[in-house]
Amino acid sequence: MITLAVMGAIVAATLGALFSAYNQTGVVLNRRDVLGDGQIAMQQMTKQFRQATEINSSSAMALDVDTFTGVGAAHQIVWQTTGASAPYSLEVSTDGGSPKTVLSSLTSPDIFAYSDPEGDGTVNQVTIRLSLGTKTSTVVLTSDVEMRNL
Amino acid sequence: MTLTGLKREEDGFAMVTAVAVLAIMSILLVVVLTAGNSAFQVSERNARFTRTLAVAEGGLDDVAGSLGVNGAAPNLCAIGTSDACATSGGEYQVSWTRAPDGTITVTSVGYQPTMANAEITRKLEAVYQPVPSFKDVLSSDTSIAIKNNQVVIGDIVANGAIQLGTGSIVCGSLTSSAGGVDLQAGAKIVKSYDDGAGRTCFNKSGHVWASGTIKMAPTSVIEGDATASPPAGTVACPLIPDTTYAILSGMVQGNATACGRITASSPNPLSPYTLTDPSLPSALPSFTFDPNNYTSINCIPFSNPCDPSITSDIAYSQFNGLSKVNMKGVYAIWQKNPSQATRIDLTGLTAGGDLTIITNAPIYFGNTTPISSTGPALVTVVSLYDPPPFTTCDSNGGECSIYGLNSVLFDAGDPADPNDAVAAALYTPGKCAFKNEVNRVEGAMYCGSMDIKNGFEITYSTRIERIAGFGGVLERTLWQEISE
Repeated sequence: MITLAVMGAIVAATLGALFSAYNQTGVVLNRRDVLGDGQIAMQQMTKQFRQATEINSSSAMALDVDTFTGVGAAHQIVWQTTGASAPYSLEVSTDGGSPKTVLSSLTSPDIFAYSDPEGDGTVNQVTIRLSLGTKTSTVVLTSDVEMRNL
Repeated sequence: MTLTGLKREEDGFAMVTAVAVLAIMSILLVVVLTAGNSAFQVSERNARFTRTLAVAEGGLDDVAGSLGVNGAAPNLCAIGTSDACATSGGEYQVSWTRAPDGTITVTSVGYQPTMANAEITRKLEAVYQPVPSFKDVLSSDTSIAIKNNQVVIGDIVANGAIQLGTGSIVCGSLTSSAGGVDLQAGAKIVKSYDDGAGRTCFNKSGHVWASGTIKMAPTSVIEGDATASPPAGTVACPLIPDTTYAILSGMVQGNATACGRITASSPNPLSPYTLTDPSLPSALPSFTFDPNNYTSINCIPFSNPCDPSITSDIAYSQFNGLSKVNMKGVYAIWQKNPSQATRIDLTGLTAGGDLTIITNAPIYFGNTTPISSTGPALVTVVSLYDPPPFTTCDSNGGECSIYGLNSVLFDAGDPADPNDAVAAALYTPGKCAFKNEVNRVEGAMYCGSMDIKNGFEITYSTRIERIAGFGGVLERTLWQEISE
């Protein structure tokens, strides 16, 4: 009986730890995945906006630029958020093609802000702010991009 | 097996269970730590990726800085060699190429943490060009007069008086830092223009800014603002008489502001007796001959690198003996004791591509048939000839640094296409003059003094905005990241 009691306690404790660890691992993995998607999106956006040669249109939810993509001539790239309520999605399209969803965990659709740090009348800095909703919290990634060609 | 035996074999069961539980918990711990560490590694790699961009960009900045000071600066860490330049956060290698127009394309590769053990590599390419020095269509250190009924497209800047003949049109602006502006009957400063044959002009200011009186015939029009400023240091307006620094007669469609009286009509309220600052004197851009600005030079007399201090008595005749048909490339002609007797003769010139002629001798476009080209071509003509003191240069010639007679007609191609045919920049800190009215060019002309009242029709072209040798410092005009 004593052995059974001890085993029962140990099994209960083990299951509790197992369940807790499972949950924690899920939270950590979810946060890792969301953060990873956000970082990849941020990296793509900063790289493309940094070498943009023209801003075709801009708003808090979308930025349409002509930019280089590694080789050859410039392409038209549009980044925009979509959705009626959270979680919002972030999509990108190239040269008028169909949009591709890059991430779908945004808590706010307003991700772009613009400024003119030199004060010369040319808007050449964009601040990107991604509010990423995880299972338990919101992680915010922010980056200021100076558009080198504007 | 007895019951005692079975009981004995249960001994240690709790320990086995405990060990199994510990093993499971250890595995879970490893999983949790691995997940956390993975996120950390992703963040760390992102940080290093960003730092590598700064390393590569540091390479671009170093090249631009060193080439701006010394066009022959050596490359201490060339791409393709084993040498790398160290900078904060990593190492970089660079290379650059130079185009005939002075454009430099720089490639920089950033390595993190070092080139030998690179974990992250980023490659950037940037284009550097001379800063824009030719933004106006006509610029003179003295006065400028535009012939009757001629059309000039672009901004005109002078440090003396500006006169527009009867019926002439300027689509752009007029600025005189030390003189008045005289608009004769029907002369107009307009914001836009279309001759119906493709020669067009849009979105110009139509402004006139004089450091003197703006004298307008009753039928003349200024579509933009007109400002007549008194000399620098004036503390109150009007001066006596109030017909000085005034705007007299004509129509000003923008705002009219003058230190003196205003008799021009305007749809807007007039601002007479108003003190305004005069425009700053315009300075011709200075030219510096640097052989490193060019990929190759036809240097007459020959020297390598081409040295302006090595001159020849017969440099002009050597050049004049060359065929002027489909000429292209860079020619630097250094004449000993240059004079009108040793002038460079460009009669019969046609361009086979971009052409740059630089000389310390006078340049003559005599009875030149249309200067055509085999395709789009930039023609840059620079005369550094300094005429003797107290000599004149006018439509009849004389001591001119650049002189054209009769048909000096640069082929502008399709007037509606600014990028075809010939765009020309004519520059001299000395004197220039052209005779007769069929002279025409698309580009710009900058002279220490200028006599074109006999006729010179010109349309500004941004193609000649940046020219090697002018402007000094380099300006980045394109930046991009290259995929490796």
